[in-house]
Amino acid sequence: MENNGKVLDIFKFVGIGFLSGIINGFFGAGGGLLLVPMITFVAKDDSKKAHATTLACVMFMCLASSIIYLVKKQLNFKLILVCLIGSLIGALIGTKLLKNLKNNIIDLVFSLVLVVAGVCMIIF
Amino acid sequence: MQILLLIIASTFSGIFAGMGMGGGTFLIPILSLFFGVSQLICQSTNVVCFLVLAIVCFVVYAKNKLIDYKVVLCVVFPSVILSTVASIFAIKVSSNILQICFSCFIILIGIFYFIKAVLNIKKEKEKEEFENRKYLKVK
Repeated sequence: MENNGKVLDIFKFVGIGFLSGIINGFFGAGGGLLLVPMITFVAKDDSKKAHATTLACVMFMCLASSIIYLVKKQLNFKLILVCLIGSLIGALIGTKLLKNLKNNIIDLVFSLVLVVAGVCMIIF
Repeated sequence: MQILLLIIASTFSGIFAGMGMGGGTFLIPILSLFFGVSQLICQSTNVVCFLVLAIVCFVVYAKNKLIDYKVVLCVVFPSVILSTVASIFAIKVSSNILQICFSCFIILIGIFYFIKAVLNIKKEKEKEEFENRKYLKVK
């Protein structure tokens, strides 16, 4: 019975992998947003472990996509370098802010910015 | 000047990435809306930026033994195969269509997180009220 449960979990993870792979490959983002809640739900890992595991999975997806973009000459190295500097500074600030902000407030701000950005991208 | 603005803009997306909220979903709209970068270049830029950030974080998480390798093993193979196929497909799709699909995707994710946040706030309030009532009864 226990083995059946484990096999079922493996199938669930493979399914999750397929879905997040399609999203991350097609949009170049978003794989992690799907993986965190799904891994938390199926593996019943705590939030920190789910985030770390997701990051490891998305890292490999990004590696695969990066190779494709490199081969197909779809990379703008100057832009990447500039964005990388900003992203690194931002990530350092973000990890410090995380300790001082409530999760629900972060979720609310995140959701509103996403909806506004999405609508603006369709209109403009 | 534009470089400085780009660094500031990517810093904002980095802040969300640092909070574990998917920085890429911000970097792509910022590059597209404010700097007029095509959707495909936005995506490739985000993928490479995230890859570098992820490698750094991966080392830290691995040292702290926070990674569930069994889960990674199950998820990685199908996701890498599909991610590769989807990336090849994305290059062939026109940037405008890609942008509309991406916009719809982030709106859906936004709605999901909004509902999640509202439900959690409601739950916390109910819990607080319950604790208050318990405290008053004891008193």
